[in-house]
Amino acid sequence: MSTSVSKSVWAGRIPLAISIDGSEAQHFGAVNTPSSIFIEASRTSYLILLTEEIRDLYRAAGLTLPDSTAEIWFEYQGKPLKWHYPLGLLYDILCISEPSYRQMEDTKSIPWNIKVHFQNYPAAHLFRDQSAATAKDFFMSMIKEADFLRYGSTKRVMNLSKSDQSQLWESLCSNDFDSFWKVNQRLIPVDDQVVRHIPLRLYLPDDCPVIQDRVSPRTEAGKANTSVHVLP
Amino acid sequence: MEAGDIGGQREPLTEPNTLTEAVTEKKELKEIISAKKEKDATKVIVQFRAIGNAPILKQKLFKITASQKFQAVNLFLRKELNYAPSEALFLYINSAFAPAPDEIISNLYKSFGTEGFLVVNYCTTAAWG
Repeated sequence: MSTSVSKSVWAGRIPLAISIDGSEAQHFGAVNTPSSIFIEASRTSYLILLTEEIRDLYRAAGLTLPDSTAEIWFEYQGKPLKWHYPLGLLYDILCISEPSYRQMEDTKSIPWNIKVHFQNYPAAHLFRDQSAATAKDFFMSMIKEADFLRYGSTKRVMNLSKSDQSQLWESLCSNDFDSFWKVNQRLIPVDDQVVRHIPLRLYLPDDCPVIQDRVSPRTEAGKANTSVHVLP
Repeated sequence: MEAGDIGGQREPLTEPNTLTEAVTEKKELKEIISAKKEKDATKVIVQFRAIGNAPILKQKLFKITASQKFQAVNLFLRKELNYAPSEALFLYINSAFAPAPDEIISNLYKSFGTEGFLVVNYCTTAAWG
């Protein structure tokens, strides 16, 4: 199987411009509001993997911040950003939408202007137990769900050694495609091997409930299924 | 049965005309989203199965609103077991994986339901990594 598409998706990056409100900067002891921080992040990465670095940069800019990252959260135009969604997914559902569905002026904004907060964690909108460990658990659960859909059990994932399982997440954190693919290729079908279902999850803008269903690799007429048939 | 391919020709979907037609039949994104957001009152039957030394429920089948999130199952089970939020409770689907709390019950049922149930295993110590 060709990996070129997966590789291109993996290589996607988003330039972020992270800013802080002046009042919040003062609250944490800054004399002047620090200027924006620019980071180029991988689309497959997560905000939770950036929080420590960002806290340290704001400390260097004069803010007195606690060691715990439990209160750190991000926002785009008033919407709290889910730390357990990949960055590329967040950007796409919030910034890129069809002309028929454009709500905000600021679409396709590059760099992506988001705000960081160090207090008033919006626990009604974001899970409380934010940590890289929990993000890893969610990620592994997603891998297992995909395995179950393809083969009717999670045997392929469970047969991986603990270190191979960790390698999936760790190579994502270090943006190392080859290391990721070495393990991932043992989970996906080879050549014309037929799976039971194709794992597919559809995220739409405007807080639409996520769409997920059993997707057969073949249509009822016995032809190869395509996205044209599957998408609503 | 629908007609199969004629003489092993390429599938019609690869022809541009057919593809364009199929795409124009699609609903607008706005319609799809508003339809998806409508409150779905259908119910999913959840079957609880205790693992290890987790307390066993007298009643094992419960109807849960399909549009709710998986965390609702966790909260419901805690109530049934009289467990405080601080007490450890792990939930799995089909003895296989632990969905994220924001996954939607109808999606889990459609993808992983068996024989009319969504099987939820629960235990007080982590069982399946």
